[in-house]
Amino acid sequence: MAINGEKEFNTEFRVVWRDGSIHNIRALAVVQRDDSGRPVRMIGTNWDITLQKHAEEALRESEEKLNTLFGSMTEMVVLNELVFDESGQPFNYRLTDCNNAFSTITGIEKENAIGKIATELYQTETPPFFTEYSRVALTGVSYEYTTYFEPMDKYFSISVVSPKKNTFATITTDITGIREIQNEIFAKNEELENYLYIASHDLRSPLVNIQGFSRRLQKHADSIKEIISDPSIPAGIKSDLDHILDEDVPKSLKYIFSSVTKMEALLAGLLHLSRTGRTLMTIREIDINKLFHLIIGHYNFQLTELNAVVNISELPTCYGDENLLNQLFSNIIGNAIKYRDKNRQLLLDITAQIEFRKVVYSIRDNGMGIDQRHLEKIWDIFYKVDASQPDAGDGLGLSIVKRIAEKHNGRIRVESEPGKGSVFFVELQRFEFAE
Amino acid sequence: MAEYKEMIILIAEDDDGHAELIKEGLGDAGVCNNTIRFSNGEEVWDFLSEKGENIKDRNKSYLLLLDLNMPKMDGLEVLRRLKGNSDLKEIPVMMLTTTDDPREVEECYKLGCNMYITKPVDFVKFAETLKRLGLFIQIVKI
Repeated sequence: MAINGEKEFNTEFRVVWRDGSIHNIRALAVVQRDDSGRPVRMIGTNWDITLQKHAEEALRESEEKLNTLFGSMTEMVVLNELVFDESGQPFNYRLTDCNNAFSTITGIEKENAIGKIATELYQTETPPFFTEYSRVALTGVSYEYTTYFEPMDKYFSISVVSPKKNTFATITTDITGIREIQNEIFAKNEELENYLYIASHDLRSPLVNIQGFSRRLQKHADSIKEIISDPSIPAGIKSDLDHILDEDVPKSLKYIFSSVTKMEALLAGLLHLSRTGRTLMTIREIDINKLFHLIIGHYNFQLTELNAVVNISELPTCYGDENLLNQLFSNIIGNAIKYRDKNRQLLLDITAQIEFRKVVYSIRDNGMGIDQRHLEKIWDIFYKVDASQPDAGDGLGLSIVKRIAEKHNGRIRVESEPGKGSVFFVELQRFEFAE
Repeated sequence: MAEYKEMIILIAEDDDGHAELIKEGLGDAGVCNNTIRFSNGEEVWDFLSEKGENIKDRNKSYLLLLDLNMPKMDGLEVLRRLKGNSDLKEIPVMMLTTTDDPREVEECYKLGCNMYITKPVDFVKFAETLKRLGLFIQIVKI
């Protein structure tokens, strides 16, 4: 055909190399003709385009994969671009692409959505979440939030990311199910705390009697002793009774009293913990720097006495209840002092790191450290690493710390090396939250 | 002229043991007023509001030791009714309870209780408290 002058020669064909591999070859040729237009010769080139072929194939495959993923995701994905006014200020956004889940969830057909500006698409006066979205599109800093959508009675978790400047994508997950479970857990926890409260409270009542009437018994025993001091009582009976009244009765009472005291301490602990859980929080922004200086000031006497060094970095603020957070950090600092290594100067390093919507405060000490086998249990109520220590606490401190962190939608964990020291990490909310 | 009235101590306490300990403790502390014991809130309220057979004597004055957690009618309700009644609100009320929950304490003071005492498990402390209470009662009597 080329020689006949019908068209230029441009073709692709496959060749099997001597090693058995298949190669794609593209051949291009031009025909040169004499003055009368008769073909004289043909000049051409052959390329091995195997690699290009493979790349195209791979690209198509990956695009297909992405499209399938995009289309079949249960999360709703929407791509948008900002719309600017004449002065260059963004005032709206336009939907540029979306997946099937968008249509399923919102009921808006993809064809009717693409290219529409937000106010028109969602039938609102102002574009929904415009401040947050435009900030993401302009700064590239991702944003995440949860919201309740009343018409559908559903909770959504929405993360907003910016694939490139002036554009943003929202990825929306239906978290209604998770939310329901969370609420259930919350209710159960509340119920448990209530049980704990009632139980520890009601158990104190009989203890008052055990203690009180044991004291009475002691008094009765004393009265008997007075009666038998009368000389008319035969000596043999008197010595028998003396033995009972001076040794047996006091011994029994001693055990009763020490058990009552122990039980009283346990119940007071349980009450304290349940009360921490029941405390109504006043959540506001907390200047943690100020709080730490307050706490360190509180321990000033001990710290000066020990010649301890406390370094506090510039700490970001967080949200929470000031009293509870004071208690939380005080307990940790108090432990650091109590469980210091007496052979070296106590060093305390307090730093913080922002992690998205959370801030993690770390309190590092160079104390005794905690043995691996104790690490999991230190948060348990009444757990004492060494109960035989005369200054062992009530085993409540860290369980209260944990309870407070949880109440703040936060977390607490510890890293420790025996002989070197421990770091307590306290994760709290950077932004306002509801309990 | 001020008229001297005998003061009766009313003990509203559902736990028999506690009631016994309170009575004995008051005696040890030198308080020898007569006492009447009620084992729930309704009983003491009927007495005060002069309902039923066992009712208060208008020629006597009263002081109420009131427990919080009681069957039928709890201490808070008794306190609320008593302080809301113009004939009864002058009666001194001392809460005597195992709870030291700040919220409960606040609620009781808000309703107008005169004193709030937590029953300590330690009997020595309990006796101390009753002794102070006894002194207080003697002052009230004058």
